[in-house]
Amino acid sequence: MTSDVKFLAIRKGLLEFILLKIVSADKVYVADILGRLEGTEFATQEGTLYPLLSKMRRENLVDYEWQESEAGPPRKYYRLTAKGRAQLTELNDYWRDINRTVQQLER
Amino acid sequence: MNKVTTVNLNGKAYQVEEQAFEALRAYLDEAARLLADDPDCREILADLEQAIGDRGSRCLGAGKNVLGEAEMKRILQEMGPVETGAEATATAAAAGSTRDAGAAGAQRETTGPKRLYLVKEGEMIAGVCNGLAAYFGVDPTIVRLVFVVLLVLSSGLFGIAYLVLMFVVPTAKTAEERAAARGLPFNAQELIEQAKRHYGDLKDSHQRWRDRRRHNKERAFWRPREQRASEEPQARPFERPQSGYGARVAAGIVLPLICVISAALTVACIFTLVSLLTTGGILGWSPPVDAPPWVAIGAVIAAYAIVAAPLRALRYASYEALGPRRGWFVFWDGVLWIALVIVAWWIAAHYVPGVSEFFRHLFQDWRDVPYDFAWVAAPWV
Repeated sequence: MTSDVKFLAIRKGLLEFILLKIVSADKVYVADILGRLEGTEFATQEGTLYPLLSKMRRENLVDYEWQESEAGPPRKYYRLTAKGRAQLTELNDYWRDINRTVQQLER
Repeated sequence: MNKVTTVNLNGKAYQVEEQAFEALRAYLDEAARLLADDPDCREILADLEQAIGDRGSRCLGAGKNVLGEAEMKRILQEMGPVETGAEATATAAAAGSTRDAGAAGAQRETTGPKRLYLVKEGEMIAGVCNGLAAYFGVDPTIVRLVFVVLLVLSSGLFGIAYLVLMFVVPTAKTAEERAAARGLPFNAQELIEQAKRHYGDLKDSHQRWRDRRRHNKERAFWRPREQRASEEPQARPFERPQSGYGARVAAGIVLPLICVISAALTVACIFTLVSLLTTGGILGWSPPVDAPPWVAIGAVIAAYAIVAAPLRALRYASYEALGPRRGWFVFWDGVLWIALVIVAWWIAAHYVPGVSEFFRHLFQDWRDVPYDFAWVAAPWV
């Protein structure tokens, strides 16, 4: 139980990083993101995703535009802003550093 | 067989069973509560509604056009609990504990103690008397009569009590709260917090209106013209289906009429009660000597209830016909009712010779009563 809570915290902390990664690859809408994460450790639900994306938009990391879909109402397609791209690079570097440290400590 | 309600999820109508509707409302209310501090609250709620609607559409097809409770619960499960942005990126300890706190909060809300609520099903002004009636388990008519008698006797002082209750007592919105309305006390801290929240709501409402305008504009920018036209004005979520224009107009005409009639009835009833209590008779006529006074009083209340019942039914039917924007009608109908009762009382007491004579006697008798009501009688003596 305790370890589960710790893992949860790690996953939560990384979720924003993961989202930046996914959004950087392509213009995506929420169902795409959910599909990409499904079955992974980062499997997420709308209840978490929408508030987080909205926060990231406020921080000017992502932006969205409305696009028509062949079926149903228009969808919000998210993409990275310049600031989001910069942050992603930063986080990638940081992540590599953390991994290196963890691996060094294992030896 | 289940009752079906139509809900508006971000601009599109869905038919859902009543229990599914309650589950949906509980989810969205909780979401709105958690996101209350989020600057994009409205937008996120719209997104969530949209996502729920999309998932719902996938369950529906040619042979099926109503969402059931089980499907709605599954959809909401798939949506997952709403987590605020701050929570999602918080540190380890905080993330764990806030989640636990959130779960505990949800628990408390569904299984919490019974308490006093405003009950909006069949209210006259704000549902205070209705809520009190549910709380004490008596007929709302009796509470209203007692309230009006107290209002008149206290020269309107009880009106202030009513306003205070209206302001601080929360409204029973969910099925759980309506069930909890028939029960135990609510504590002073909650009372203060309610008052604070209402004050906050008043302050926020202007800001929210501006946000929504901005949000609509923003959205409209990305959307093609024809869709923009069909979207304005943005509909409120959970509107009930509107009744026909004719029915609403008829209700608008009938309501004030019913209001006048029921006010007259109430005045007559109070008048009879007071005169029974003080003189033991009604305008000279007295009941058979061997009958105890409470029998006469009970008979008067019963007669009032019987005569008022069809009027009340008619009034609720009119409220229903007025559709989702009936809030103000209901409020003003109640205000008009109270005003008519008071005005009728005052006019009768001052200008109808028999009645003013009666009052003079009444209050002279009353001076002998051990309560100090003499100041109430001052205008008439």
